[in-house]
Amino acid sequence: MEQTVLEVKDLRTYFFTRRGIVKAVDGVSFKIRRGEAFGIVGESGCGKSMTGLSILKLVPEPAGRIVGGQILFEGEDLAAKSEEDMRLLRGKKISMILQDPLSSLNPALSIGFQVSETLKVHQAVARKDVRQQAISMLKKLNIPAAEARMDNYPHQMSGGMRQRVVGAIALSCQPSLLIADEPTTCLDVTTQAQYLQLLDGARRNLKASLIFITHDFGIVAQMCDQVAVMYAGRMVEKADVFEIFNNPRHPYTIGLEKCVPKLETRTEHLFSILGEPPVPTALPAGCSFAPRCREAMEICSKEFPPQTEVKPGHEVCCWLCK
Amino acid sequence: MIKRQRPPYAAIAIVALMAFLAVFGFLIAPHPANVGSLSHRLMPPSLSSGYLFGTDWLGRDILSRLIVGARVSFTVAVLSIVVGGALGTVLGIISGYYGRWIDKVIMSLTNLTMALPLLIIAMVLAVVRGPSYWNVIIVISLLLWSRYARQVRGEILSLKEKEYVAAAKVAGASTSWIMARHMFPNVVNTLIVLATLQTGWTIIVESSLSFLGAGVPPPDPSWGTMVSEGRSMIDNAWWISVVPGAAILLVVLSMNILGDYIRDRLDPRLRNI
Repeated sequence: MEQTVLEVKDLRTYFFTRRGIVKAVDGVSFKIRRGEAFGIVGESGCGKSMTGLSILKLVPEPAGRIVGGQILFEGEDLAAKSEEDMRLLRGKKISMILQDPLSSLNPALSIGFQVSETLKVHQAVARKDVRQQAISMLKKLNIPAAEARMDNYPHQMSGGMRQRVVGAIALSCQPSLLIADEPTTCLDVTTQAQYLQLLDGARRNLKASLIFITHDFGIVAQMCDQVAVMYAGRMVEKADVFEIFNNPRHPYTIGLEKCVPKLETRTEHLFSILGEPPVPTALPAGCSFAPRCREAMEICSKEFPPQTEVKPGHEVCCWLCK
Repeated sequence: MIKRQRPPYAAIAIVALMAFLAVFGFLIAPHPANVGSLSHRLMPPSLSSGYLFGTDWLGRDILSRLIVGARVSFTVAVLSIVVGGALGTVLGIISGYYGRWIDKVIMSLTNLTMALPLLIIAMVLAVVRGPSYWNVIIVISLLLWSRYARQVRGEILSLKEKEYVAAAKVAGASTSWIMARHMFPNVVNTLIVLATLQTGWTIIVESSLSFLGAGVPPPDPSWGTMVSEGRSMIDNAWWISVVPGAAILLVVLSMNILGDYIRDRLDPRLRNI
């Protein structure tokens, strides 16, 4: 029986700055089932990281605030929860891997301490079992000589290994939902591949759901079951992974797909989407992508397109699909 | 290429000697420090008389008083630094981490403390409550804490933006956990350096207070008191003031050299990523 682990309804996170209101997340809705991997793709600044942080209610204050919407996690609305209740959830039921895992580790503390930290903070296991549990997490992430590594410090490990330690920390309390915010940005391609395999295997073992935030379409194809494309704070297309690659409908998605060079086709010029993302404080009226869209119509710069279901499970926000 | 400095052996030896004397000195002092032999008053330093550094006007052996005085100065210095440092560190971490009004309040307190004429307050306290060890320790701690608070606060301001703090928040750590387990270990280096560099200064302050009569109560010899006591006899019994004065000079200089060395060794360049 597929349960919905997370249902986000019309989430809005705005930043109130002196230069104007930045609508970082502007009406985002999606649903994730248990064990599912959901990818969020988009350019830098489109709001994908902020969506992840909003779920955990770690929006940087005082400028940022969740101004509307519901975040239903296992039935409960997180938007209504107090900070103390959220703190109990973080790391235990919902975990997050941050963008640069190499600096996610405190250089002054041993690996053993940091891997056991979440366990200790949430008192997830009895005190005497903490060390054993930490070692077993390291082993699950394929860290060799795990027992000896417990006393090492971050600078004594390679980048790939630190990456895996961060993964171990995130999964140590067996969360139901793991949010990974561009976890492979700082890795080389081979380490990336190994790491993703490990992480995916570990989380599947725990039957945890995954939100994978990235700008790399290739990774999304490999890891995710469902994919959402974000632009200027909104989800412009959402579908299952095969649909989105075989049948992209939104011009932005089509453009992104074209940007990735493929081995099979010979090209002289690399394709790129013309123009630039809009200034966050001055979003255009109507569809935010209209200024860059080759197929923009008059209505596109007047009104934001409603969400249309072009096929069951495939939703697009585009006037072309209406 | 950065050349490894040689450790300052002489400075280390002197500091070690002082620490040793502070702890075990009373066992090896050749004569009692507080009781004088009136037949041996004002003897100059000599190797043969059994009074290596001479005696004072009461016939008390300067060397023995020096040794016992080491304990007094050392204890006062250590306790003051511990109390002042602990207070300053805790307030500095709170101030830097929370920011906003707490930060303003604590920083105003440091300004206030630095503006107070603490030496005068020390003297007033000595008059009102009578000289006591704790007067001295409290006064010196008050003098010291603001330096720690400001230094630590500055470091915390940058440390709290580090990714591992965000990672700890994401893992559900509470603010007090983050401050104690993540922030504090990263400022320990600075604290060690500050403490060593301030020991010398603390000894001087304590000596000054004792010199002015607001320090440790007589007859317990403190190096400062000894310098003060010998003031009037400086032209005919110079050793009563000069010997403890030289001791102060040597120890403070050594602590400074040692502190500089430790600071260089604990430098960020040793953080190899």
